[in-house]
Amino acid sequence: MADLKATLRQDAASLQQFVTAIADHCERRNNAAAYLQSSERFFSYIVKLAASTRSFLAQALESRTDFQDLLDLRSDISVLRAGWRFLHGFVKPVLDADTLRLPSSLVLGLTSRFREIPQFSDTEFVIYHTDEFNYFNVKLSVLKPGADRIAGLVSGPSFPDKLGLIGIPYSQASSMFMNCLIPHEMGHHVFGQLSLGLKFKSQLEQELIASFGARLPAEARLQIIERLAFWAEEIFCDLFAVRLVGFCFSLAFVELFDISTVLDENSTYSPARATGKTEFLQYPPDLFRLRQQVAVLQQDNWWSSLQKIDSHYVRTFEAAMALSDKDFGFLELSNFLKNIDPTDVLEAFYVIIPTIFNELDKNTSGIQLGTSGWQSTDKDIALYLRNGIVPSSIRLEASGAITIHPEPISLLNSAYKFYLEGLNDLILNIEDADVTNIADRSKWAKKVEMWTAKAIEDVMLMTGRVS
Amino acid sequence: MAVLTKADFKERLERPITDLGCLVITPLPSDDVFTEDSIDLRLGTHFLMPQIPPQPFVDPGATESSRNYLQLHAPLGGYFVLPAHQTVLGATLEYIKLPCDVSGEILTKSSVARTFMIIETAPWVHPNYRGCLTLEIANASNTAILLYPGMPIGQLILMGTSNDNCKTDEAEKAKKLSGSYIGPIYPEAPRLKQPQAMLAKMGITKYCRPGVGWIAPDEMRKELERVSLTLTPDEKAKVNSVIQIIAETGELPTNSPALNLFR
Repeated sequence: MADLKATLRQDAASLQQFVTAIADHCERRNNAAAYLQSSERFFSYIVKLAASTRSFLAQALESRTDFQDLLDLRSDISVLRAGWRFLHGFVKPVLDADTLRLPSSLVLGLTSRFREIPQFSDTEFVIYHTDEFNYFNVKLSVLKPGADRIAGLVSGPSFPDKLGLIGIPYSQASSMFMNCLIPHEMGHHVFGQLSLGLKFKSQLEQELIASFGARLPAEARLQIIERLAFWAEEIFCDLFAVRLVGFCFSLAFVELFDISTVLDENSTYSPARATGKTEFLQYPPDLFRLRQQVAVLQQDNWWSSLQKIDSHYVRTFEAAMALSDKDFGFLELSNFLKNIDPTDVLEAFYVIIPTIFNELDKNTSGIQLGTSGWQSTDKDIALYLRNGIVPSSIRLEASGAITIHPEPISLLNSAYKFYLEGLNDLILNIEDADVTNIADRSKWAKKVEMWTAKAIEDVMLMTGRVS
Repeated sequence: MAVLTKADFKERLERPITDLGCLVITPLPSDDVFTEDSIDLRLGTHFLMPQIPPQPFVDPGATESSRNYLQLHAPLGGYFVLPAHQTVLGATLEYIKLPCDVSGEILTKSSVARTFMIIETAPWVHPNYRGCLTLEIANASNTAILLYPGMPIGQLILMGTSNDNCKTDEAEKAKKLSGSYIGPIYPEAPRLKQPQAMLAKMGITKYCRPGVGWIAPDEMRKELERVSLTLTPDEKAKVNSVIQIIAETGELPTNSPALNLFR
C-alpha cells in the first residue's frame, strides 16, 4: 500500500507537470500576439481546467487511505492523462493561429453569416493551424465528452458550449479565397450538432436491406452504412457551404484540389484526365461533389451569373454537370462486397441524395440567400476593385447613387469573380505591371484579396458586428 | 490652390467612382469627423515595429527593409504600448483615394501632438493616391503612450492643384496608376533604392561603403571582365560558385552584374 501511494504520488506529480506546461503555453503566451475572442475563450477554458486538475491532484492522494480508493485514483490519473494528451494536440495549433496568421476578418464575416441560422445564433469557431493540406472540423461529439471526462473527475469547467474547432492549412492562413472552404467545416459542425448522421444511417440501412436482403450480411452492411453516411456528410457539408456563401466556395474547391485538370488543352472534359476524380473512394469523387454543388447554385440563383465567367474553373463545373450517375464508379472491392455489384451500392447511396437536399433546406430555412444582395452590388464592387479602391462603402449609381455597405458574402463572391475575369483590367491600369508576368499577377491577385479582407473588416465595423 | 472645405469634401465624396475628381474615404466617416477644412483620420490595427538591425546602421538598399520590422496586430478594443523615445510604423484605419486634382497633407491632431507624439514626418499625399496612409509614429515624450486602434490620430487637409480640369481630360483618364505604394491596407516598410544609381545619375562613379571603403563600380567591373577572360572554364566555374554563395547570403544585390560575369 505504501508502495502504491508512492507510485501514485510520482504519477500525480508527473501529470501535474504535464498539465502545467500546457496551461503555461496559454497563460504566458507571446504578449505581442492577438487572438480572436473564440481563441481567448478556448485558452481561458484550458487554464481553468488545468487549475482544477492541479487542485484535484494536490488533494486526491491525501484524502484516500483505502486500497480500493487508491486503485480508483490510479485509474483516474490514467484517464486524466489520456484526456490532457488529447487536448494537448490543439493548444499549440490554436496558439499558432494568432490574428496575424489568420484571415481574421473573413472568419468574423463567415461566423456572422453562420449565426444567421437561428439554432446556431451564438456559436463561435476557434481556428487552428494544421500542417496537413486540408481543412478539418473537430467533431464536438468526440472532443466534448473527452474533455468533460476530465472536468467530471476534477470538478472543472465543461467544454464551452457552442464552440467549434476548425483547422486550416498553415500555408493558407492569409488567403481570402482558399479560406472560402471554411464553411464546409462549419457544415460538419451543423451535421454533428443536429445528429444528421443518425437520420442518414437509418435511411441507408433501409435502402440496403431492401436492395440486398440476406445477400449482405449485417456486419458488412454496417461497414457500408458507415462509408455511405460519411459520403452523405461530405455532400451535405458542400451543399451547406454553397448555401451559406455562394459560388466562392465551389471556386475555392476547384482551385485548391486542382480539379480543373480534368479539362484538356481546349477546356474540354477528358475522361482520361479525370482518373481519381470520378471514383467513390474514402471521399465522394470531386466531380460528383461539384455536380451536387451546381444543383444548389442553380436553386439559389447563382448559376446563371457564374456560368458567364470566362474561366476554366467554370468549364470544370460544366464538365461535372454533363456527367451522369453511371459515370461514377465505386472501385473499392472489399471482402464485404463479395457477391454484390458495387454499382448497386452506389444506387442505394443515390437514393438518399434528395434527403440530403431536404435536410439542407430544412436547416438553413432561417437564412436569407446572398444572391440578390450580390447581384445588386457585383458590378460596382468590381468597379471599385478595378480602380484599386477598397469596396467597403460603395455608391450604387444605377440605384439613385445610394451608398451601401455590401455584405461579406457579396464581397467574397464579387472579389473571386473579379480575380478570375477582371485581374487583367486592374494590372493594365498599373504602371510597370505586366499581365503576362506571373509575379505581377500573383502580386495584384494578393492585393485584391487584401482589399477584400479590408472591406469585410470595415463592413463588420460599420454594421456593428465587431464586439 | 485653395484648401478644400467641408462642403468640398462632401461634394467630392458624392461623385461617382468613375469621376477622376472623386474622393473616397472608407470606412465612411460620420459627420462629426469633419471640421471646416479637414477630416479626422483614425489609427489602424496593424503596426511595424523597427528591430535593431544586425549592423549598427541602416544602409539604404543594401538589405531588404521588411526584415527590419516586427509585424504586430492590436485589434479594435485592444491597445499598443509605444515606449518613450520609440518609433513605430502604423497606418490609418481609413483607406483613401485622392482626386486627380487634389493633394493632401496629414497632420498630427493637436490633442495627440500635446502628448509629444508625432504621427507623420512625410505628410504629403499626392493626387490619385489610394491606400491607407502609413504613419511614422514617434513618441518624443519621456513616458510610454498607449495607442488605441480606432482613436482619432490625424487630420487630413486637402488642397486643389492647378490641374483642376482632370475630370474631363481624356489623357488623365488614360493615365496608369503609378508610385511605389499602391493600395496598401497596412503600414508598409520603406522600399529604399540603392544610392549608387542615384549618384551615377549625378556623374559620381565612386562611393564609400561601410566596411569596404571606396568603390568605383565601373572600374571594378572592367577589371573583373579582364580577369574573367584570363580564366579557364573550371576556374570561372569556381569563381562563379563563390559569387553565388555570397549572393545567397544577401551580401550581393540580386541584380548585380557580377552574378553573371563568371558563368
